Parts: sequence; structure tokens; C-alpha cells
Amino acid sequence: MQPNETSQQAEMERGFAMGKHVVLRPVLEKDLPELAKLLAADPCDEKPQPWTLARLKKLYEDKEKDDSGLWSKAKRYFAVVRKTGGLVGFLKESEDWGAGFFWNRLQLAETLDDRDQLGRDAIAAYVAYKRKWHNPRRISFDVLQGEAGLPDWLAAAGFVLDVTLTHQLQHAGRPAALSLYAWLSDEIRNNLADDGPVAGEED
Amino acid sequence: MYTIWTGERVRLRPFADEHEWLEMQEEMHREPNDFWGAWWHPRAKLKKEFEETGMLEAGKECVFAIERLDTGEAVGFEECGPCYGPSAISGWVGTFIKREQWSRGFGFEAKLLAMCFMFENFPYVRVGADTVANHKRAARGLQLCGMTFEGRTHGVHYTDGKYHDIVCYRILREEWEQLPIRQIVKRG
Repeated sequence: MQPNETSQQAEMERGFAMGKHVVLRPVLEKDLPELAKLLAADPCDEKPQPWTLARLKKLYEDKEKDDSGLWSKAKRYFAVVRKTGGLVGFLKESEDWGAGFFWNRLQLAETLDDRDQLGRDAIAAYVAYKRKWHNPRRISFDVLQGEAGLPDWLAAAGFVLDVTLTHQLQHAGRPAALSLYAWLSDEIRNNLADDGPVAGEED
Repeated sequence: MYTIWTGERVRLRPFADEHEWLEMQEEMHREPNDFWGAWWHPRAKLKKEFEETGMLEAGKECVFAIERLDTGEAVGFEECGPCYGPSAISGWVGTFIKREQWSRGFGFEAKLLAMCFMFENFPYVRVGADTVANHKRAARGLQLCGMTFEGRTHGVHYTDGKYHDIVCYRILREEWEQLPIRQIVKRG
């Protein structure tokens, strides 16, 4: 091994979910300035308060709880970084009471030339990571009406559209629909009750 | 903010006191719900919640007692809240009626009154509700309230040995504005 190869390897990002081009890992302090911008730009964020670097730092350094505010039992933020370094997005993961149901949101920077490639890679890496370590029963992602890229990346990873909720949130000054795309484990598929249609469904 | 909403059969009102709130919760949840399964909230947590807000706080989750007009009995509770935080443009409602009080239209009217609370107090453009796909009565009740079926979240609820879909319904503000309940409801 050449000396420069060693230094190159040392600079490569490592993390929980390893894709071809990106890595998903817990948020590190160095991510915070760029992450604050991405969080503020996420149209699906609940925004109880505007995201600022100061707020993000406070969450990151939260000593009130056992867990950091960015990595708790109920909610975790993954930094999405290029293998060669550089934050390109984040994935927010919420979990239902340890039931193996994961509710997610992926936000990548809008200005990336290779955004499509990175998005597909990030979704595939995340699903592989969950299947390897967490026995997920159900994984879903929120997708805003008109959002480019994400529906295709999810479809490529085996997700299907669950439901579209009309006027669910405000975006660009107008009500927008929110869609949920889901991946189901074999455990759910094989034990899914056939409950038949409900009122209004057959119309 | 009006906190009492009266229809022809029931009214939504704040819980009279902590005792009524705790008794209602413990009575409703002491055995598994046939459709939603087993839920339990420890008394200390419930007391803390009630002490803080009386279960009514604008822009956050609110819980009303559902009271029969003919007997004055509290027959269940109505929950409602915003989707996506305090700046939300959509909200949700959920109704729980004691089993022995079913089939009398109390849940139906409580849901309509909750819609009035939501649309009249907040700038919501949409109110949603959902139920388990095997709870046909509840789904039918949502449709009767003027709500439209939107779709299913698949396999998201486990009960009685199987995974079930959750079925989603919604009503938009302009649809609610056409409902007869607006001419019936009394606010206080």
C-alpha cells in the first residue's frame, strides 16, 4: 500500500449505512452548520421553532436527557455524507415504540449535480442497513407533493405509494399534499389481514 | 376559544376535574380495545398532563369529555390536535365512546362538534381521521360525518394476531362549511 493510499483511506467517510457514493452516520459536530441549513429548508419539517445553528447546537449538546436530541430512542438524525467527505443531506428516522416501524424523511441539498445518483444510493444503503441490523417490519418515507427525485428513488428500492393526504401541510405559501411511501417486510406481507373494503373505498 | 360545543345529543366540554379525567381514562383503557388493542397511560403521567393544561391548550392536542344531553353522563372522550406542529394547516380528530354507549349516534355527533372546534378556532384547511381497516362501523361513521376516504397505510397496526391497514379519511374546510351541524351547534 502506498503512503498516499493510506491517507486517502483515512479521509474516507465511514458510517452505519454504506452506499456506493454516500454514507449515513450519526451527526457529528462538524456537520452542524450545513445541517442547520438543510433542516431549515425541509418543507416537511414540523418547525415548532425555526431551525438555527444555535438551536441545533443546543440539541446536539443536550445533557438533560440520556440521549442527544439528535439521536434518541424515538427519533434519530443521520447525516448523509459523500464517501469522499461533505454533507449532502440528512435522514430523519422516527420509530414507533420499538415495534420495527420506521417513519422517515430524506432531504438532500437541491443544488447537487449528482443528486439523483446520491438519492438512490442513500435510500438503498439505508434499507440495507436496517435489514442487516434492526429487523424492520415497515419502513416509510414522507414525500411532499411535486417533490422531484424521491418517489423514483423509493420505487427503485421497492417502496410503493401508501396514501396521499390532501392539503396536509403548507409549502411555498400554499396547501400541499403529503404522500407516504412504504416498504413492507415479509412478516407483514405474510400476516396481513384481509379486512376488505371500507366505507367510501369502493366508490 | 370556545370550549363547550353542544349538538342535539351530546356536548363536548372540558373535563370537570382531574378525578373525572383519570376515571375516564382508566375505565376506557383497563382492558384492550377490540380494534386498537391494549393501551395504558400511568396515572402519574395523566395527572401531570391534566395539571399542566386541563387537556385544553390552543395549538396542541386537546381532549374533551363527551357528555350526553339527556342524562348528563360522560360517555367518552374526543381528542383533536394539529398535524405538523403549531403552524399546521391540518388537524386530526379521534373519538372514543364507552362500549355500552355505542349505536346511539354519540360518536357521530361528537366528531361533527370536534370539526366545528377545529375549523372555527384554527386556520385549518383540512381535518383528518383514521381507523383500523377492520373497524367497519368507525369507517362508516367517518364517511357519514362528511369525510372522504383517502387511502390506506398498509400493515401498520398489529392486533389480534394480524397486521391491519389503517384507513385514512379527511374533510376540507369548504366541505365542512356545507354540513348541517353548523346550523345546529351551540358554542359556549
